[in-house]
Amino acid sequence: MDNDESARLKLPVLSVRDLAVVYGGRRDRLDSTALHGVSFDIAAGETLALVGQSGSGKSTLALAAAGLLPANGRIVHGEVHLRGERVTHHDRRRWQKLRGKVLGFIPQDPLGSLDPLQRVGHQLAQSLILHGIARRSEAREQAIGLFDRVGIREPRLRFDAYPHELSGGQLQRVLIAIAVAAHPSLLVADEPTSALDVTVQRRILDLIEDLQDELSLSLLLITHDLALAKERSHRLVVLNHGAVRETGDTATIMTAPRDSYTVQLLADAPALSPDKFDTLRHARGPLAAVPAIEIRDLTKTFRNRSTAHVAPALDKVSFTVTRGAVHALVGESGSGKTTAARIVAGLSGFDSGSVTVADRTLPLHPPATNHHARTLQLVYQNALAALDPKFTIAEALAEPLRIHRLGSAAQRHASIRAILEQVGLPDSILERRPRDLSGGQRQRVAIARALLLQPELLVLDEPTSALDVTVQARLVELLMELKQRNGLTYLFISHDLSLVRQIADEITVLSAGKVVETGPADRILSSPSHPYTADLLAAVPGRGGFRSAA
Amino acid sequence: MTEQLEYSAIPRRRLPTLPPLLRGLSVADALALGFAGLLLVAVIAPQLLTPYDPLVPDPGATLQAPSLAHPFGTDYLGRDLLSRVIHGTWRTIAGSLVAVMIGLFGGIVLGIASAYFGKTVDAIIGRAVDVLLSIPGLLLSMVIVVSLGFGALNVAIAVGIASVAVFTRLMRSEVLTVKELGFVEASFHLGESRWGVLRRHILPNAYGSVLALTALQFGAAILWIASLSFLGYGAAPPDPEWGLLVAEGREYVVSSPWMVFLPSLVVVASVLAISHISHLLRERVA
Amino acid sequence: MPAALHSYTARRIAQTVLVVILTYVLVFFILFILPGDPIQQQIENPQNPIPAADAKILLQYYHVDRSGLDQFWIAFRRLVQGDLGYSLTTGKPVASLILQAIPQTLALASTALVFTGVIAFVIALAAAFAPSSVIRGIARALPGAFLATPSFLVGFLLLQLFSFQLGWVSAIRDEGFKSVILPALALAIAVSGPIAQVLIQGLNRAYGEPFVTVLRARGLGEARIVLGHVLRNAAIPTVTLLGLTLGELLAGSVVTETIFSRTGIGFLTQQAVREQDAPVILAVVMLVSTVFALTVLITDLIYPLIDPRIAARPIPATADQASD
Repeated sequence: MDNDESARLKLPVLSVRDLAVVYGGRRDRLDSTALHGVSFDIAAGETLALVGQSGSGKSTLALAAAGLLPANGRIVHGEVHLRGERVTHHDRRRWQKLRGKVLGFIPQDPLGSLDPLQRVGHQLAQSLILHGIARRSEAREQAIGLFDRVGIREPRLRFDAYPHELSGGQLQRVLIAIAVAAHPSLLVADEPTSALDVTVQRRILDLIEDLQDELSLSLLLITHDLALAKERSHRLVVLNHGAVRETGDTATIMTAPRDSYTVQLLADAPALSPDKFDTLRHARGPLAAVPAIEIRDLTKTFRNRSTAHVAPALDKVSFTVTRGAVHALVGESGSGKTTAARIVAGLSGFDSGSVTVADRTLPLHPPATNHHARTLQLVYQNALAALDPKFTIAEALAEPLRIHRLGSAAQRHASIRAILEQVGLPDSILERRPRDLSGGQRQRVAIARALLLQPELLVLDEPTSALDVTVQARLVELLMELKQRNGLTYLFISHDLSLVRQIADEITVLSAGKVVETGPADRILSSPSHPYTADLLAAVPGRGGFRSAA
Repeated sequence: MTEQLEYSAIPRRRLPTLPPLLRGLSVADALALGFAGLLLVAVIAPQLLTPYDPLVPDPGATLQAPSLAHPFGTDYLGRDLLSRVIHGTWRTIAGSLVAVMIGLFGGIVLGIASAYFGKTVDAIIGRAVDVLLSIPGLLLSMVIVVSLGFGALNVAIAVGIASVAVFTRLMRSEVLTVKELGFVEASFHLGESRWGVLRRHILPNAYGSVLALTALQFGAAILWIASLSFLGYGAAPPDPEWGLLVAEGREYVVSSPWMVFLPSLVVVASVLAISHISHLLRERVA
Repeated sequence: MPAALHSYTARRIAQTVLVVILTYVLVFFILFILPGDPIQQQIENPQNPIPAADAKILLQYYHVDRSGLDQFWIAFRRLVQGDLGYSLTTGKPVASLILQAIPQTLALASTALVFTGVIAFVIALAAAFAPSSVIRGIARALPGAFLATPSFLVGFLLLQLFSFQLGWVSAIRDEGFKSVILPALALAIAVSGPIAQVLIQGLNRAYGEPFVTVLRARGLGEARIVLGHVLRNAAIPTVTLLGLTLGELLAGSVVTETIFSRTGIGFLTQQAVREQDAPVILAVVMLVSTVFALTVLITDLIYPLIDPRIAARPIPATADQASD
């Protein structure tokens, strides 16, 4: 190794100094600063995690470092150096020379990130040829070899598949293969696993780690998930509102955070404070074994009319929700948990079995209009979709009272104000429309609307999964408080085991439409009897230790 | 900060409050609205816009090029072309209005019925719409006009019937789309009845695009009616009608091209103005 | 081909046949039954007297004395045997009138279709990617302007410019392919608006997709990204407009052929409508609607070949699905 080479190795692979990025062109009066004064370095072989909530500027930073800022974004201050080369104001042509070879990019949404009209193998082969890694004649074999390396089973068969024929995890593997095809020194991964199930997420991150060691890659990992950053990164940068709040060794920050915002983030991440509501639960004491919902041998199949394909969504599912409990229905995507929730809520029918909700047996084919709205209410995952965009919040909240002719106009007004106070919203939002509210506020409105009918049961379909961790923490606190105050029973649908660990009294684990395990939360979490549950628990980030230094 | 203080310190004269629909209009918006206003006057009181009688020939002034006295020139009988265009406005515009009303009414009723009253109704209306859509609109209106007989009103009715299918299809797909949206299910879940959901959620959320299609179809109706009149199936001479004026000018297109081009440009301007207003409506209302 | 696809194909073909038959029923009733007695009216038309002997033949042929339903069945049975009836004004067989007119219209419509595609693509590419914002703005406004322009205006403008002013093409004489260019251009401008609009939307949407960012991150140049990936993704929705466009081209030829003095299907239609010659109108409408229905059927059936997502056949699922 000559001197130049060793000098270059000592340089950080990526160095960002005092970077400021602004969105909005000259015509656009709404110039908004997305980043100001951000600095950090990534050494060879190192993983740096960029942690922040939505709007923190973490994705902007990733795009700026990769030269991929959209047309309306521009660097107004500071420097970016990539392997010693100043790339701050590179145009597309000069960036093009670095892409693939020096810098690889792994996107957030695997499904939308490949050309839907081209076979996945061709897209990889194209990269190999483009960067002179393979000649046209050998590109196919090399691509198949690379597919094999990133863990795609039957790579020969998959080479000719179109993107829509592969699962999200498989697609992310294809994208990783494309990113490392030309042997870059740095990978920029923008939330590479946030669209994937937890067990898939773990395998993908393991793969990236393996490749990192094998190819001595540096990794800039953008994530909202502190627990994931804790497990996977050597160093950490905490971003908030476009500025760095704290930066340093991951282990140091996790154990002794100095910045108040970091402290808040750590406290709000469910994975890092699993026993948050334990005192609340102990104060309540044990529950009487009175069933609120009883499900026996519930079966439902989906038929695709055009392909005559029959897929069982639920297969002889049985579980019982105890009155007054938080019963978590846990599973990965496609496990049937949402289908089960919709059946309980009377939104879909089922083929066989029995469902009893508050001593009433549900019919196989429920009518469109729900005649038992005052017993049970469902809170949707996406509150924005569940609120009519033409309605003001006042109209949306008045709707259930109007339908059920509850109270006079004045009484309705009073109950709306009372419920707003309960869910912690100001009266001033009454005249606004759903799209003018933040995600957390909208979900509070949805909860308030459900509670106006004073139901005994709430079915909560992933009510916090679209929210930032601090917003989620406040909403979960609110839900626990409302439950206690109004004596509610919750059927809580979730894919997030850390959150379930915090709040659930009982757990049912679903996998591919079957109940894998059901019972008290303590038992299932501490000693799962089924390997699938154990696998699921092991995949939850934040349980392991810190990553050793590079 | 000081700027703001100074600004707020000046007692501002209250501007006359415009209705919110009219605030912040661009030049193009104003032009489109102005032209539409002119069209309206030409329909209601054409004599206000021109001193000439559209039907009285002037043998001493035939085929005159555009001038100050005759901005659009005169035709082969010496009639003032601009006043013929202005007096012909109502045949085209009112005709298009009749056509759009027929299409809109038929489409709304059939579309809602199709989307809301089960599979049998949907299948019957769906086939009917397929059949109507398999004939290009202009051709279908010709067929209907043959059956009804020539004339300005019959052309308008024919164009209206020919556009029922487009409205039905849009209304049906809008209702079906909105029906699948989360808030409709959420409203059923709160206990709302089928009619309540249709009235309070589905129709208010569907009407924006129906309004936009109405404006678009209004423009298309103007073009179709002008084309059918141009071919000689609509208004009969000596009545002025835009398409007919173009047809009358056709013989003189080499020597007096304005007889063809000026009435045609009025058609273009009307359709552009109306489509611009439809964009405006979609932005502000929907 | 899996069985499901077979049944889908069969169902779509049956549907198309049904629509064509129903269209015939509808148009027959509108033309022959609703207006009372078009044949008797035509025979008694003072402007176009038909010799008594011919009139008798026509009356017998169309069985005007029978009920509407009987007339329909007679006509339908003849149609199945390939007999389209006789023109009420000239007495010639409708089939031969149509066959005579088809070559002219075929030349016009196919040239116009090519022009339509070229115009729409050029406008859309300019609207999305032209370096100058002025050109982009103009290109974005053009489809709307095309939609607002009556086809007779475009026709007269082209005639005025190229025939009368520049003298490139005769307005009257048939000069072979040269004579097709102007009317084809007039037709193309009239129908290219919607296609250009769909393409512009498609280009903007495809250019905003995350896969474009990934292509850029892989080191592909902009030209290759646009021409190799974005354009193909954007063009797919326009395929569904093909049937509509063909229908509009044929219907639009009524005005265009009249202006450019061509004697194709459009001119035949224009004459037939003017003379209320119901058998000819019926035949023309059936021709156009059958072309439309067949085009829609074919585009539907080949769509999976163009867009692999539609054919969504599951790749042999094995154990590895659980692993990922």
